Amino acid sequence: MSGADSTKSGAATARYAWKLRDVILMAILGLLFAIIYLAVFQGGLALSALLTPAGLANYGFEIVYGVWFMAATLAAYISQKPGAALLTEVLAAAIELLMGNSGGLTVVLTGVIQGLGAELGFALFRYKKWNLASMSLASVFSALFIFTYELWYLSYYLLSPAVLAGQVAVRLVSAILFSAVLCKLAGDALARTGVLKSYALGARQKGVRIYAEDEAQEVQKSWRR
Amino acid sequence: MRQLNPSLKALSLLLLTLLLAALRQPWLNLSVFALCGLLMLLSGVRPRALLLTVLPLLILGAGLFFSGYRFAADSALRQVAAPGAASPVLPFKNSLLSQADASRVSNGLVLASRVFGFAGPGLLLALTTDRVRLVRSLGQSLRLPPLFTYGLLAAWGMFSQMNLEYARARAAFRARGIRVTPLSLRLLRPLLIKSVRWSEALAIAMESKGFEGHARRSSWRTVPIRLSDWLFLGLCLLPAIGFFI
Amino acid sequence: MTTLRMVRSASLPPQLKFKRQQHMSLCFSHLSFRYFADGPDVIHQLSGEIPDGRITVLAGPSGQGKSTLLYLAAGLYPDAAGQISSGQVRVDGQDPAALSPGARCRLTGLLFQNPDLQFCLDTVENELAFCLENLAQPPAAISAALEEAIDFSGLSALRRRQLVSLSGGEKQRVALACVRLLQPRWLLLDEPLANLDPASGRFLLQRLQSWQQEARFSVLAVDHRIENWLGIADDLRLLQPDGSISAAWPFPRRRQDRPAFDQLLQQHGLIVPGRSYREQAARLQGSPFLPLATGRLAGAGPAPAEPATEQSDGPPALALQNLTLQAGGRYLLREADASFQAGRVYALLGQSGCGKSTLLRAILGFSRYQGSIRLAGRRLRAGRPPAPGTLGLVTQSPQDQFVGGSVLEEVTAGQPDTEQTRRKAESILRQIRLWRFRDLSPYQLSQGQQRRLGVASLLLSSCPVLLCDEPTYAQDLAATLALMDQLLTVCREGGRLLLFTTHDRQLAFEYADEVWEIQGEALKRAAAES
Repeated sequence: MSGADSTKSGAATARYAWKLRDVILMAILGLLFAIIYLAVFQGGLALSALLTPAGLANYGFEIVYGVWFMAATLAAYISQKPGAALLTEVLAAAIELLMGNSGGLTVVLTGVIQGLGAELGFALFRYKKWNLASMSLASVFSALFIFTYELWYLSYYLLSPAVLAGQVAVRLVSAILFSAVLCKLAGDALARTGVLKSYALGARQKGVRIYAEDEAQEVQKSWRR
Repeated sequence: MRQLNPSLKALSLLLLTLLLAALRQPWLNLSVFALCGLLMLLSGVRPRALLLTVLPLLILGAGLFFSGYRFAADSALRQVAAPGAASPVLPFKNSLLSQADASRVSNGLVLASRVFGFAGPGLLLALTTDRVRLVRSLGQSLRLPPLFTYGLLAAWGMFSQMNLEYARARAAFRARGIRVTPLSLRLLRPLLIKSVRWSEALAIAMESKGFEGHARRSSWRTVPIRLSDWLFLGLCLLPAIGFFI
Repeated sequence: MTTLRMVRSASLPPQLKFKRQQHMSLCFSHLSFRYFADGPDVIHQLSGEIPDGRITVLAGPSGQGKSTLLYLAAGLYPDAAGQISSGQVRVDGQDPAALSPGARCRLTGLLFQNPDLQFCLDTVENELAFCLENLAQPPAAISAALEEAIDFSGLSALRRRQLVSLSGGEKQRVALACVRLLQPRWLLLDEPLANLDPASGRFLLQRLQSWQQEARFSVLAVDHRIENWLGIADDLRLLQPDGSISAAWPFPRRRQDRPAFDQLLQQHGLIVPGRSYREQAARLQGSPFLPLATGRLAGAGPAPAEPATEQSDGPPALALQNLTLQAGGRYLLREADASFQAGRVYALLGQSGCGKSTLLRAILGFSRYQGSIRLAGRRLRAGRPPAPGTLGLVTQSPQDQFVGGSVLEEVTAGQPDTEQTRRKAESILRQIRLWRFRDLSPYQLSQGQQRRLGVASLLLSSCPVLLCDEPTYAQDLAATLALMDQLLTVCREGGRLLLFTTHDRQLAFEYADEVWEIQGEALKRAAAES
């Protein structure tokens, strides 16, 4: 992350330079979704324990796998800058590492790989389209990239192709559901509250109607001191 | 462990993890995990804390073991069942296990032990590393821009606050008689708003203290690289001998 | 004072140096500022000059942009948010927004309202060192300066403590030590005492005063509570409704100057020190300061003491038995007993960090405890939330309790979607002057409006117990009066129990039927005078 980003932000124009506020937001999003993941993980753990004798324990986690990608797609959707997804994934991975993640040190590597997947998804739309389609594609690539890596890293190639195909299918559905659909909804809901005015997503937001009547006027007129 | 240079320690442990991933030796994985556990206890990690982090690993490991046992790929079975390959994986030649069964067990073990082999170094780093020292050394040794390292640190500082906020948001809904699931959009909204607000407030606070993302800064405490750091790196690279045996 | 300053003045020819002296002030000229390009001006054509070398307090009703003005003076806006649509800000002749953060922090320093959101490191020492590392000072110089600042702010015992484990007052002392290290020429304070108990606040201001008297830098503080500054500040400036800054009004030094000063405060709707809320409420009745549609308070005060027999039937609405609370390995409460009756109002006092908020959290099921907490006789499970709809919540920051996507939804949330609900919601929103904002997100309202909405949103719900954490935190007089009036009305009309925490003894004794206090790990009834 270091070399690439520092040279980029040093040389880039204002639109692409990262502000401290952006970096903290990305890391906090990583933190938030890591906590949510842990909350959901309990459910996944119970489910996978049930599936263990059947040898399908992995599916318990696959169902919630999409939560991992949420921080990246959401941050990208909010800031609409190239590199946002990758940077967020790396920061989120670093946060998970600090939290004592059970995946170990390579979680940072995982972050890079997932982030690259997401970037590819947005890049295919030339970073021009920020909608459900590009977010879905970003999520799908994240899921596929990380699965390819796990084939080697977690030795998933030792499992039969049928099980693996099922696993990929569940992961893709989870990715689209959580990190595309849910993130899109969450981003839009957030933009409606008006707190995103200084980000690309919020700047597009149209103002909400304030009605003309003012209940205060009469009081104002009658009060003399 | 706490005295080591955090950057080099992280790098060493990362290399170790990658070596384990490439070697696929169940007993090596498990002994690395045991060694890491021992090092953690020696560096003052409370046994109870360690146990709590290991519990989910056991479930995870068990799950993977059965996946590997029941749904082994054909190629994996052939590979493991080959006469030369079976012995290092399963040193005990149990006559009760058929050849195929033995390879299934070893298949499961490869998958399951992996979880422990990876978690060990990760936990060792997370539980024995001072975060501020890590950030200082990332700046000093690896020249990472403070924008990212201190931004990360500021976000990390909100950890307990975020947990509280999560509970608080759920309480707010409960107070109004509304039930929400952990991933409900209605629950996410206040949390996301807080995230945005916090990042703005923290950035403002840091900049008002003169912080600049790419400016040169001094370091109150230097984090040196000593001989012991290189020795630890060597230790972590020791499993590489496995390639030559 | 600083190397920066010395270098600059040394390199200037003598006549220029004299000219610079003339510009030593904080100067706004025809300043207009808005947050959004298409939005209204928050500050409109404002002009005024604050002379240097003095402690100046800027006061005025909420929502007029006092904090925004401070952020502009600090150079943080418009970089962080908004835009200047006309005019300019000059601090000692310089445009603070044009400086880099490293140079700016020697010109202007800030103390923030919220002590939780101003640190980025883990321990007190590290945070202090961070300030000087930013200025690229050598380690030896940092160590020396650190000792001095720690000593100055009384932090010796806390220097290795984790920042998250500190109380609000302790955190503000750390923040003071930070600016002590940075030595800005202008220190800007954004209600830094809003969340502190009186003793912590006094300590902070006394340290500030002695420092200012020796170093003669300039202080500009925004505060609703003028009494904090009696005997400390030099001038009072008021941000007036027409958007201008009033002439300087000296703080009274002699007893005979007080009546005229109090008169000024009263005219501008500010809290008059030592005067009862009831009396101040009477004087404000019908004024446009009160954020209520009728401009009048309902006058809900403490209920007349009820005979003891009436309270004894049925279990109390909320009861604590043998309650022991701990935080960070420290006891906050030991085996406390208390019972609270429906229809009555209780205030809870205590120093910051004494465990008031932790107690509320325990009742809400966020934190663990020993002993038992009962709601209407039913025992709660420690660390588990009570059943939905049994506990109403007004949080310190109203943003913590919003559940709706719009102002209207905020009031109707959790209620059946009927015509009747909608009609009631409309009348509630009209009463607090928010009806015209009904489609906005609650987060788009101003702070004062959010507060009003937070309390009003409980009017439709039927929960028998209301918990309020610092309901009047950072509110001006009119808002405080309107809020307490609203809260007491909610409580009286629904026969509900209201338990609120506060640092304001006067508020507690005037509005509550019973006042309790956490002191030395014990929870007990408080006496009116301490």
